[in-house]
Amino acid sequence: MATLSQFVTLVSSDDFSFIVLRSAACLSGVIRRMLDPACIIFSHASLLYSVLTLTDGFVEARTNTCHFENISGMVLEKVCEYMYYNEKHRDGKDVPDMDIPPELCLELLMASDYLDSACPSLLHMALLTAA
Amino acid sequence: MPVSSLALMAQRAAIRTLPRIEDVGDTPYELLEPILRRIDNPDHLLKIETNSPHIADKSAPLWQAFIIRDIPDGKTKMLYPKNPRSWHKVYRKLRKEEEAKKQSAEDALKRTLLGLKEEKGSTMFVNKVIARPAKQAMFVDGVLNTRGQQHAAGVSTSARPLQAIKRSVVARAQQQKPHMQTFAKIGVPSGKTQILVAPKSMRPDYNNEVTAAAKRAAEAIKKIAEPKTEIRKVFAPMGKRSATDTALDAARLQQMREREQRLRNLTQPGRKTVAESSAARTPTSTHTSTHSVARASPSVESSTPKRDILLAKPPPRPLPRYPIALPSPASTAADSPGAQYQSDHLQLPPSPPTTASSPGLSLGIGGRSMSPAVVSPKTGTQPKRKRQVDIFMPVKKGRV
Repeated sequence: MATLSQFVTLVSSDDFSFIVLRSAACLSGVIRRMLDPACIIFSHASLLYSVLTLTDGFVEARTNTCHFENISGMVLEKVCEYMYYNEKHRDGKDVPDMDIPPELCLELLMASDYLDSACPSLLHMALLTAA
Repeated sequence: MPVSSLALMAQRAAIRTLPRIEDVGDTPYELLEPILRRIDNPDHLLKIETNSPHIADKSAPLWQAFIIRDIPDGKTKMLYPKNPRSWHKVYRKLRKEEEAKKQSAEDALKRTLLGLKEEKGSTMFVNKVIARPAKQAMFVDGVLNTRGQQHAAGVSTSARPLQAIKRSVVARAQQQKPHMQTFAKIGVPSGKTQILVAPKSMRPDYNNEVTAAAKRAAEAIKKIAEPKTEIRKVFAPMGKRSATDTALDAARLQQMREREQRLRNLTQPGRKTVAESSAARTPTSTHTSTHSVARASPSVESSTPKRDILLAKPPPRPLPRYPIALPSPASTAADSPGAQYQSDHLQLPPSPPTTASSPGLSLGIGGRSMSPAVVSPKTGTQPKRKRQVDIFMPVKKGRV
């Protein structure tokens, strides 16, 4: 596996699979680290797993698949939409917000928080500025 | 990044639909803080806390903000609960205290107002005659009034008591009614007044005739001016017919019938002479004598066999619209069709006697007068030969 695949798969808790571009998916810090083969495992749970199998990163990195047991299909779909929205307007200025249905907004908030929790300082800064 | 993070976008969306948020599930407080800060109603926050108790652990600053906002002097009255989850209780307690205070203040105000009202309502007994400080006139006869200061006591004791009394009376009058002129200036009225103008009747230019004429003229004008009420006799048929009416009608009918019979006798083959007919006619009532006399000459004319007027069919005439009583059987037997028509006529309301003259021309019977044109015979008579009268210019040979 010299070259990384262009597409990755994100799987929701209710087994919905979303195949997205790697560049778009790596907007989320969590996903980036999950899919990064050079990343070293630090968590207790995965440590045992890695010892048992292979020592080159997470399973996700090898399979290019990320499972999210705490994110539902609908929310994950919106996340993917956001990823592409972001990529599309990468060079733009004062882009309006994406349309988010009220029913999903809290769940989406939680999911986005989870996916970006790799850099909590950034999140907090972002929230403070918003408030 | 030009596009804001998904978290921020989601927060903004949540704020937009904040009223509908009742349960936040297990979303951590830190994420929800910008949203919860936007809540206006403490009850809303309480509801969210009830559904997601972990929020209540950290929502102290929110409750404090509410207390400061809603309760006056909230900062000083701030109570800190032992249980961090019961901040809402603190808020409620403080709120209740505030309400109670407000209510008591309102009650006190009410009481004071009512008290004032009660005071005003009570009746106060006052003297019937209230002593009033007498008002002095500033000027009397164009001069400053200093009388009040001089005669403060009122009655002056002098050698002449009558004059003193007078002076005191005047002074009192001035005190009480300074605007009225006292009799001291004018003099007490004695009843004798000078007559300046003589009465009208005693004046030298007073003319009896003129006045009488004026009076008459005035009366005449009045008469002219007043509305004249004409008394018009209206001979309209009344609703009920009295006994006299019926008797009169019967008498008239009888008279008509007699006359008719007479005429018929004249015109019939079995004819009486003129003298006999006239003699037969005389015993009739006196008031119809003139009528009969008037009729004597026309009846003589009619007796000539030239024209049979009676038998002549009366010209077609529209029947009167008022109700007509059927002729009595006694009259139908002897009457000819023409006469029958006439008897119908007799039932009509009585016509004024002025038209009695014209019946002479009509077919001998009173009642409605017929136009003279009707008299001309139509059927069964020899038409008179009329000379042709050419009213136009005679056509001459040379004329066109």
